Amino acid sequence: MGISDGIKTATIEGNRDKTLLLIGQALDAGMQPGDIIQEGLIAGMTVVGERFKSGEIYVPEMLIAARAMKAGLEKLRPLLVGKTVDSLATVVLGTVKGDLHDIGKNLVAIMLEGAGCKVVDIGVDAPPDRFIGAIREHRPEFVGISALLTTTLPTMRETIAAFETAGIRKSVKVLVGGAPVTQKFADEIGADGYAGNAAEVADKIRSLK
Amino acid sequence: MPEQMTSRERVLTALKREIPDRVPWVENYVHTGLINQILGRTIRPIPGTRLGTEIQEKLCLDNISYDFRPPIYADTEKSGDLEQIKRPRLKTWEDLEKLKKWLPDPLDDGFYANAEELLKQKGDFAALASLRLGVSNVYNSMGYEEFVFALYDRPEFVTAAFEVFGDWCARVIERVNEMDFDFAWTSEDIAFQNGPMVTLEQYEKYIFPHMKKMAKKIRFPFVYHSDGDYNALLPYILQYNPAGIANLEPPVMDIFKLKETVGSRVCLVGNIDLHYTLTRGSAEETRAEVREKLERVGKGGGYMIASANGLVSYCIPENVRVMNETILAYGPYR
Repeated sequence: MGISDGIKTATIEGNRDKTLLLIGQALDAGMQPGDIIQEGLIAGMTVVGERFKSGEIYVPEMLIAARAMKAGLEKLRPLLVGKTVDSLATVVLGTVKGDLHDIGKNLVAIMLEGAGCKVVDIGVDAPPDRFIGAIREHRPEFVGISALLTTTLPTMRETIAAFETAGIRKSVKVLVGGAPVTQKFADEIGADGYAGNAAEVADKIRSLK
Repeated sequence: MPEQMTSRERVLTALKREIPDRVPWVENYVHTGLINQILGRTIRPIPGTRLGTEIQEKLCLDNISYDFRPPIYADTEKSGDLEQIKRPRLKTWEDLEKLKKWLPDPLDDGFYANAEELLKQKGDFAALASLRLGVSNVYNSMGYEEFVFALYDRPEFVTAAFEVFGDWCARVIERVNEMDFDFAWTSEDIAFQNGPMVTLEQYEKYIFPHMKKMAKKIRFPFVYHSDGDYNALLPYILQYNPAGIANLEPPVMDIFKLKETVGSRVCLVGNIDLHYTLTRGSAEETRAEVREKLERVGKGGGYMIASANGLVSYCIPENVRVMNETILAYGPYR
């Protein structure tokens, strides 16, 4: 097994120490940080996402794999300064105003990072102005809006409407998700996409790019 | 056709998976905001009441409910009937010691005074004690992600936290066992819509022994509740010997399939959709869903109709009225 495969496997297993050890060995062997990320960490998280989508693993396995991936990214990030790293997309992500739930949003952030996206997480209880400010500052291709409470679904609609009012709606594609959200509702409020679970979001982004 | 029953008889008959006079309607809670809207007046429930006797003027609900759940060790934010966690506070062993002192005294008679007041009003309704067994309070107090990492890194902390909340719950259960309740409802969410919150290995090793020990303490027939898709955990949950399982959140819990697979072992409770039907659907959609579940799941007994969680303040009152009418029309066993 090559060292990239080792990093990939350690990531899938959520073995943080082994992931870091193998990354160190890969760097010593002259492997480029960008390649380690793509062939080891992102490749590992891709497998995790597929297994999650098929019901083979549950959220804890995804979280523990993501923790290993994040540790690896932290180790590699200082080595990436000044280098161009392929990014799938920049995504601003938040839970709508009135809703303090963050598990679903955090899982989406994990899977997007694991797919090679740059994620700007604006947190929970996010009013439209916070989304708009982040869009203006980070110029993402995508915005992800999450809600768990049925009561906050109208706020999801209002948030998208606020993007129109602010004149930024056409500059981003809007993805929505969360327990009460359906494709039908996403269509009704004028979202560009809907994902049924965290692992589907990266696929949706690839299909909409 | 069975003779007309009281609400209590109806519920207890269904929990035994026998055929009552009609399918009972039970809810673990009904938000006061919704009750006020349906009644057209403001009620002042006894503190701790999750469902009193007022709304039964308008709805054929068969139970009342009182809240004995331990508080969550976290900063929370309340808006109307909804309370959300802002900042979990259980991180360290020191926090665990603070938690023990922070919990209300379960041996204090005053802790049960409001419940006794509510029970004086119960009449023929089935009185439900809303309990917990100590698991969900732990992950809610720790924060879910922290809880998961702790299961991998320091499981002894998690099991110690189960014990702290569990001891508290056990003392409450001992006292509630002596009160005039008819059945219990153990709310222990353990699943998301895409499956269990923990791996099956973690469930078997850390949660199953705790829950089994705790469930044995309950002297009433009890309904086990979790949100989400807990199909994979049913083999464990059924070993707790619940009389019923709830609230069978659609679409991930397929109640028609459950009727076939476990309907002969346990009463099925709930499954009327809250994500759409009761909160955003039409009266006609509500009628169709309620009627289908009454007819298909109620067949042969062993079903108590209920929402997929509780009647929340953002249900459309008209849809709740339609649910009521449909239960009265199609719920009786003929």
